[in-house]
Amino acid sequence: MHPLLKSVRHLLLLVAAWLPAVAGIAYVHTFVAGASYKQAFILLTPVMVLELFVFLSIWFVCKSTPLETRNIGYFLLRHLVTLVVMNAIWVHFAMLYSEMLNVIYEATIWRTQFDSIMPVLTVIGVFIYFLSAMLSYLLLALEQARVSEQEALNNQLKASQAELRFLKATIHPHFLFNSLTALSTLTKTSADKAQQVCLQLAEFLRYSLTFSKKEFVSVSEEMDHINNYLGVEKIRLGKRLDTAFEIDDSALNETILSFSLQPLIENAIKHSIEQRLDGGTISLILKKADGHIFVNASNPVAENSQQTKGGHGLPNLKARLEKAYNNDAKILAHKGEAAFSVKLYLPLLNTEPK
Amino acid sequence: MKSDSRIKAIIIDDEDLAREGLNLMISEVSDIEIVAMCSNGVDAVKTINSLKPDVIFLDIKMPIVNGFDVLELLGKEAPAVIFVTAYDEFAVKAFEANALDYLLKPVNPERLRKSIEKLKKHFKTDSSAIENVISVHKKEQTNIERILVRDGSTVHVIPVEDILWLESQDDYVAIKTEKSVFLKLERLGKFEEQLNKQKFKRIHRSYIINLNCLQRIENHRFAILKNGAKLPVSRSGYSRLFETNE
Repeated sequence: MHPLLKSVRHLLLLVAAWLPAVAGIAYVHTFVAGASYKQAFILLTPVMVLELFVFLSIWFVCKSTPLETRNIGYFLLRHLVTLVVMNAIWVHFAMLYSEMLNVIYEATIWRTQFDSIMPVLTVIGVFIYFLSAMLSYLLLALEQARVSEQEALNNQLKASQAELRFLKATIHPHFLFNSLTALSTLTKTSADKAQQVCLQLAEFLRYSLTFSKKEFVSVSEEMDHINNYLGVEKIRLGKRLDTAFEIDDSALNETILSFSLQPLIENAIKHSIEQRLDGGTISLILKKADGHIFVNASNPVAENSQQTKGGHGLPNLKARLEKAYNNDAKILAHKGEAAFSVKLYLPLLNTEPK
Repeated sequence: MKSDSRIKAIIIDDEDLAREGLNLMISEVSDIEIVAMCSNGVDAVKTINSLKPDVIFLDIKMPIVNGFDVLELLGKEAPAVIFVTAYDEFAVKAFEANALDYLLKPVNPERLRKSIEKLKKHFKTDSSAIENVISVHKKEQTNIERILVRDGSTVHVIPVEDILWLESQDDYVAIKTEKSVFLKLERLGKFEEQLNKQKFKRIHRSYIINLNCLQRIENHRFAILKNGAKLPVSRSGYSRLFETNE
């Protein structure tokens, strides 16, 4: 759709700009062909109306012949051929029209007048072609700029939305309100414990809020986060939640993607421990092995749990791992008869935590 | 409202501190007597049955048997109920629509006091409102994994894969497993909606079978199961057996 035809206002402006052009050529015509103004307008108005359509159609030619081309020869040839063909058709139309006027008015002056004005028409045709092509490329460039700006904004929006989704997923209302409920009880029964949980909850939230700022952290930072999280959850779930961690000390200073481990523990709580009457044990193994960090998180399978290869936060984590490790990281989820486990293979990064 | 003795209540919540906190708060703001606390739905049904409290404070999100399940299992014997929930948009909407009383966690003592005053005035939870909330909640459930059946004060959780077939018997549905038969007050059609249609087929007005237990079909009229049972197949049931579920 031509940008000038998109709104009535644009079209009116175009027609208004066209009127002086018609008047100008009629004025020239009175000199060149020695015609009266009336004759000039009768002959030239329809010719110029047709030229307006030619003017508009050049935009489509420009659109299909992009300015950013390697092949200048081809580009010029395309425009040249179009120009010649369009101009020839237009001048031809003017000639036929003048012949028609001869028949209508039973006079021969019209064709004679056309013959005198023809060179001028040809020149005008070439000029208008250039003008239109320039204008079209300008409009196309503006359009292009607008589209890329829109895309940039869209990408920004998508990134922000993803971040927001992640934060929302990190700080579940369910988790938060239930923790506050437990805390509310502790303030009555055990002030010391309440204080400890408050501090752990604060640390947990603080770390969660750094999500967008720190992409990579040390293993020990991520483990601290997990321990804060578990501290709060243990208050809430009591005896139902048990943990067995085997963490290789030599891996603590290695760098990993932030929030690559905590979601595994959170999933285990949400889909297994909370769903089982007597809870269960979450085990986490983390060790360094030839060139990568190996992580295995497992939990007992809950009856009718939704914990499958497709469900919950794992796809989200998978996408983040792919992006952060350029597809060098592996994540494998396995649901057995009695246990559900997720294994991670994260390449060692030789960088300091940013 | 009974004036001769104190109101008896049971607290049902799977989290220790939530129970303990509510217990403390109730004793602070009212003279209600907490006769028991339960940490899961199965236990709750049993305890309610034996202690017959006037009111229950009921958490919704609990493992295996949630708050709605508890009410459904109790049916007409359910006492007055005050829901207690941390965060469940669906539930809160449903409660507001049905004017049921509910408390949001962490519980505000002032709000609890009002709730108890309201309870003393009416002392009856509108049972049709409860049914509404339950039915809205049940509607959300398709491809259920288990069926809950109450038998006196025991609750049976039957995994659907253990079911051989379901048979409609007057107002009840008989649920047949290898070991026994359970009766549940429900329409067979309801189970047809809730069970996974890839695994369970309604072969007859009165029968739904588990396809895993089907051995063969005999001259279009009988389904022979692996355990040797022979069940009638109606014409429409036969065509249902061979339709694909897209």
